[in-house]
Amino acid sequence: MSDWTDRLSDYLDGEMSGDERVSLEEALERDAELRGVLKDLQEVREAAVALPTQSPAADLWPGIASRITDADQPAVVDLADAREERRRFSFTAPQLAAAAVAVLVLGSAGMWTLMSSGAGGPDGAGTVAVEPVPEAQLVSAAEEGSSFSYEATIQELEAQLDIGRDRLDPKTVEALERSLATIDRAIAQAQDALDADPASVYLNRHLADARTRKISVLQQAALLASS
Amino acid sequence: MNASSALAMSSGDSNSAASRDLDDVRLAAAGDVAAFERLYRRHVDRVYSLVSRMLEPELADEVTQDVFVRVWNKLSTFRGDAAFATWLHRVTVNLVLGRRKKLGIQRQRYHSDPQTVLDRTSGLRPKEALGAEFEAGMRRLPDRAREVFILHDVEGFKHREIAELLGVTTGTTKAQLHRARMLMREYLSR
Repeated sequence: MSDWTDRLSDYLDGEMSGDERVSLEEALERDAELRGVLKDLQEVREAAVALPTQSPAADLWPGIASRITDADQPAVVDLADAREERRRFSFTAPQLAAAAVAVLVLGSAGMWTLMSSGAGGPDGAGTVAVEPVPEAQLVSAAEEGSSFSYEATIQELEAQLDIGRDRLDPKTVEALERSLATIDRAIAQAQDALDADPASVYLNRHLADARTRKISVLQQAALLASS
Repeated sequence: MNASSALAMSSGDSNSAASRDLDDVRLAAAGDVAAFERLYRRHVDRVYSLVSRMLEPELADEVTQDVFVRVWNKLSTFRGDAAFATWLHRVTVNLVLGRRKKLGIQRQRYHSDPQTVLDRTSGLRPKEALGAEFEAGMRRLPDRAREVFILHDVEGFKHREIAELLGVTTGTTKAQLHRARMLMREYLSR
């Protein structure tokens, strides 16, 4: 083997100094094997340059259009942005609980109706006013494994609920258990799917949605139980 | 048509395309979705090609869509210092590299002892037989060598640009490029 073999790509790409270039060309004149390697590398390079452009099998525009015109869709983040995002949005458990209250106020209306009608819950419980946390932040946190601790928050809410569970109407408890079981199945399915496709924005969003729903339901129930 | 007039026409076409891009970027940045669709139509193939070669093909559709959604969200930051196509290409590469890092892609490596590569008789398959084999060979390259090879030889980035994108030195990118070419040579000589 020639000592010059490792420099052949530099030679091909014009990345050599004049003296080195002359020396390599002298070696090429003497060494047929070196000339053969150079010829092959040149062909590899030419084939790479000549590779045809590929087109997607299907039109991707409808999916893009729906995402850019739907403000609820999570933004695409790259690693640098995600790191910056983590610095800007690092939530503690109490902050997460506040976010959950916001979700409680804004969503889960069906569950709220069921629970309040079944248990005679406090009429004023739905008036808690907290600034909503954009869902995209929740999704980003789920994707990037930030200091969000869903499990700890859920455990805390479950503990609060256990303390006051006896105050709830049995029908409400039954409805609550059914809702939580459904949400738990959704969380488990999302986690399984994410194991196979960890980068899926849709699945990360779905998991974040399911976790948020669980926190919301628990928060509602805990409020009722403590009233 | 002589070479110089062809070159002038090509240059004129290029300027015209860049001008159309700039017009549509301005409109899209102001919320004109139709203008953004025109940008998408003009550039989707090149974005898709890069994405599908750098990542696994089954991810190409999703990540290509991610690229354009990201571009839409960042249009206001495009200052026009470079051509839109260049800027788009950089956004694509950044997103793809981030996705590769995030996924921690582990694919089948094409292990090879450089010594055995050099002991082989030179001579690749005929060019017309290279197409699919060439794509398959690229997929078997080690991750970093594949990145550098695609960015340099397929996409035309300079070593300095690749080094900046990957956070390595140009010495590293040159070494990885040579490694990739030698591995491709071996693969295509089989």
